[in-house]
Amino acid sequence: MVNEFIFCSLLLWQIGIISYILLNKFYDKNPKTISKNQPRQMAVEVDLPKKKSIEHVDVNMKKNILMEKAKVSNLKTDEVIKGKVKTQKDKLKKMRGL
Amino acid sequence: MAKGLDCGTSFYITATEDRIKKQRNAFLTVDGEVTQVKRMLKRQGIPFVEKNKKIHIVGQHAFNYAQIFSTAELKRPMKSGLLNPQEKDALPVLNAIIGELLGDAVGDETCVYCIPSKPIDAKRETSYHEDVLKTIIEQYGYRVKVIEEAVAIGYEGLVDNQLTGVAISMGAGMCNIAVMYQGMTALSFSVARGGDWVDECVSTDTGVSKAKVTNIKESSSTLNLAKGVYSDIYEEGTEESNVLIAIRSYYGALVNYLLTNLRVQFEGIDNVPNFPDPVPIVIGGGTALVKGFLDVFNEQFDQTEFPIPISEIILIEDAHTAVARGCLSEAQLVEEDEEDDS
Repeated sequence: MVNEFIFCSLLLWQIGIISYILLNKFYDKNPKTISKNQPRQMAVEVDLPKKKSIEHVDVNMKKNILMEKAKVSNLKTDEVIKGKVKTQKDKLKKMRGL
Repeated sequence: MAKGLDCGTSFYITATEDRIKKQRNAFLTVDGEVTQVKRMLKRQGIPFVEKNKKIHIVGQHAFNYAQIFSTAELKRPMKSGLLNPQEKDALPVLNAIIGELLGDAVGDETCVYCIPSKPIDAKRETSYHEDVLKTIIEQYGYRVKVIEEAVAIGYEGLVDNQLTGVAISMGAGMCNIAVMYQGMTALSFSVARGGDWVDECVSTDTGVSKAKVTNIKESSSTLNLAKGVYSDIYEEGTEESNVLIAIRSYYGALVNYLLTNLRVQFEGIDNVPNFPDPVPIVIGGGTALVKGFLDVFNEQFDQTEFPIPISEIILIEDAHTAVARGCLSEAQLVEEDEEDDS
């Protein structure tokens, strides 16, 4: 009875050890193969907030221009036409409702 | 007293209620010892401007000198409707011309001046030009307002049509165009071609100096662009006849360029105003003064290709001063408006 128990026990241990050695050898040789076969995570498309197309804004260019007056001597107007100057002011005024 | 100022490439013109003043926008720099040159010019009564030890003859005298002495280079403070970037002495000369024409403001005087619309065929902005002129006019104590040149023409020529129609200012440096509807500007632009362009082309083709071409164009008694008169009066083969024939040809090309670009610009804009009734085209400016100009314009105008129905083509009375008078109307209304408010 004791002998049978010892025999079974040793047999089980041998099977266990052999299985361990074989498994260990197999995994050591092909460690990357296993990881390669893992399903890859696909990139997930995310709807990013779309940028609004903004056109440029024009600004008025108002410079402070400094200007010295020239020394003027005897400058005379080339032509002077005297007399009442005819304009359309009154009609414009009426049109604008002023 | 309200004042209107037309800042043209060839002439500066002011209009007040009782007079119009014109100054040719040109100058010549005189070489030589400053004191001696000044004394000589004063003695002859020739107007000049002194700046940085340089003496410049200004206005019509400079123009006349350039006709007589072909070696003398006539300088222009403005080119193609805007400040001349190649001319370093332009600003003091302009300052002197504006000062002479306007004088110092008495009290709260308003001056309305004009600027060109943005050119479609030149890489230039109008802002610097506008600011420089504003600065100069303000130096003389005026309250300043600016309007577009073609709009000033509209104020003179389109009032009987509810400020609706096409206003064209034919200047020396540029042609300005505004399509107006009930006083609003639906479209405005300028082309950097005008009387100077005609002169340059004629000078190149005939070998006559540009100053002489300008003089023939402005003062020739035989120049008439009307087709019927053309063959009767010109004597073939003479220098003047060559110039006159070339002037007519280039006037046609200028008007054609203008009308073609107006059509293209009009077709390109959104919210095109609908003109149910035919509207007039009104034309002003010095380049339109030449005899027979309307004949050339009518010859080039083709209603079937033009996007707006046109009732008539009119040359404004006293076309040379039309812009200044349009500016004056605006200045007078500004002053009256302010008087009513106060």
